[in-house]
Amino acid sequence: MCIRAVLLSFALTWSCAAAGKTTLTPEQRKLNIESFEYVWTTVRDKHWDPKLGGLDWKAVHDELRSAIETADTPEQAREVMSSMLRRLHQTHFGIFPADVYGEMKGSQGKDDESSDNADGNPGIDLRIVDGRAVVTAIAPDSPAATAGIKPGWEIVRIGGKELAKSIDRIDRKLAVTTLHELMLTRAIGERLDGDAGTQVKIEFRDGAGRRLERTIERVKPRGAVAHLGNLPPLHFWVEQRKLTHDVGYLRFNMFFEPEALMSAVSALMKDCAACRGIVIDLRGNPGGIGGLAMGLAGWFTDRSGTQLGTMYMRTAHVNFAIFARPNPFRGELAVLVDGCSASTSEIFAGGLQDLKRARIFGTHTAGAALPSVIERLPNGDGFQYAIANYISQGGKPLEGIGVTPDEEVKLTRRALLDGNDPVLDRALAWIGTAKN
Amino acid sequence: MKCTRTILKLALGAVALVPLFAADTLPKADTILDKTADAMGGKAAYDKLHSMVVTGSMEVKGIGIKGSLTSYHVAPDKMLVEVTIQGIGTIKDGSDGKIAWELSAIQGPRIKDGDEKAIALREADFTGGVNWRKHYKEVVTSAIEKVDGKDCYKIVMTPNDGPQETHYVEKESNLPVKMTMTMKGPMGEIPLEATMGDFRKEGNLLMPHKTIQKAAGQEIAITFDTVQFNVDVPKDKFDLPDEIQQLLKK
Repeated sequence: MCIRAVLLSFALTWSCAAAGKTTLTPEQRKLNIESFEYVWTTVRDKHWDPKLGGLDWKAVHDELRSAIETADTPEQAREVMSSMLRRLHQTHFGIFPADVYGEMKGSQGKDDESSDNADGNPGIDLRIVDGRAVVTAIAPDSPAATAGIKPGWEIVRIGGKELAKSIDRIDRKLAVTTLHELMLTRAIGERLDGDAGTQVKIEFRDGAGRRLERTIERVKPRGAVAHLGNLPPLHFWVEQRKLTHDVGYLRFNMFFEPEALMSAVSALMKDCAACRGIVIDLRGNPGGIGGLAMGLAGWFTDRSGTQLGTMYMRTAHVNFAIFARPNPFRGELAVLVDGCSASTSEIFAGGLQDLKRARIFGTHTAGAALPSVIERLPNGDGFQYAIANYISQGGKPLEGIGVTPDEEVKLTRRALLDGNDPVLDRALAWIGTAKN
Repeated sequence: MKCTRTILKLALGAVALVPLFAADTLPKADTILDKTADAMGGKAAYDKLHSMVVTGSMEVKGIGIKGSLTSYHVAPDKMLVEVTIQGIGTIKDGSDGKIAWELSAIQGPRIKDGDEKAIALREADFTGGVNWRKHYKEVVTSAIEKVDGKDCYKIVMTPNDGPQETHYVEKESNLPVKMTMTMKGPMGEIPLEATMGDFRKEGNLLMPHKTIQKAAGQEIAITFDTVQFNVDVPKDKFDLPDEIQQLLKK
């Protein structure tokens, strides 16, 4: 089975140690050296290319070893390890200061006593639009819906804490990575989360510029609980409907629960067999089971054996082959994405774009096609590395690059306040005019 | 063993091997394989059987994905394996002696072709294990190598159709303890290694009850819990599913 969850594990218990510029103790020096060796060994043993593209990895080690031994501050030690990883010239390899992760971990901004395994939220979906946290959707029948919260409202404070500084700080730290929007949105969004049954105080700015404070209950997330291996229980939902008499719509929050997902797709195919087009909305979809990209694609092509791309691991190259369903949909296919579309979402969208089977609308995706692992080093810093490479059918790597939409359409606060969805509107316009 | 191998393929996803002897000093492979067939129960035992139903479980190491499995095998050449995995659903893999297919909750229906089909049809042969000559055009003992510290004959088997396989037969017991091959299919060429253990008697057959499969960076453990022989498996059990029949009509 090919399981490809995005393992951006923010659940690590990062400490805020080692942030100052003080001279290190012998114990801290020892931990830095251990961290250096761990990073070097991990790349040597786990990188998908054992030859590292011809790089003399041992020489890199020998060159930098004395530098880590003489590093006088945490920053210097981090720079030595970062320098080592930069020799790879690849994204998703990096060292992150512990305090940045402390900021990114949503619980840092909470003012309540929610547990680390918080299982509730008020039903608000948000994105960072022009540097502000903006409500993009409200879950049906959620406490946020009952409280009258509207898409387009800005979230100014959560739990009494101003968001602007946090957004700015994380924004600057992560500006160079395609994961920027995903990590920023998660970091802020997690501050809304807490134990089901607790409340969160949120200050909004509405469309007229008025500040409104609401205390909203957190409830279990939308959808049914899904279990898969060692992953924590996840809530999965899928919706399919007709947007117009000849356009179908499919949206689901993750690539999980194959039988439920495929059952919904099958129902859509029956309702929409004669439709002019179908829209698959993958905005905010972080991925999940990698094989489902192939399984879903099989409903939209009659060419069995074509591939979405290839995953290159150290021990094997796995083709993401599509097996055409008996009666696939042959009309127009529009796929909506944004910076929070990751992993399997990108494999699906990028592959069908390369095969010229789908037209992609929205904004650039996260560039996190692989199970990127973040581990805590002995010195407390975070170490991120990818264990495979994925090349989409068009020959482009997705990791660290992502999918570039055929039509870039950005969300605006104004459009949300007006009740519009410019990305979906553009896709519908294309379906209406495309030559079938 | 055949049943295990089929389940291994379905389930897809360090031993130091040092050649000790030159090939010309080694026992002939056909002699070893005949002894293996006898050690597993022999032709006479198989001749008394017309069906076998196996139940068991599987687990993907390290990520906690677990499932249950049932395998139906009916002479002369019908086979169906059903694996149900929590959080994923059911995957069926079958052969009616002519058509080999898979119906997956993830990837939907597909008809096997090429090497995949050749392997599936070979595995579906109820007595293929003891009648190995029917399926392999060449078998060669190439070395003696250690597997889990025990000397094993390394036998390279070239089938009439499909990719070459390398089997490791324990010198002392004549039991097949390891197999490697490269699975060719739409997903690519994926090296596969399976190690078999916990051999126990079931009726007149000796069968491995624990198999570890390594492929594409994943390790899957398969355990057999029950084995029943000469069960009356309903004839329609091997009927092609509707989705497969629709694909055949395309």
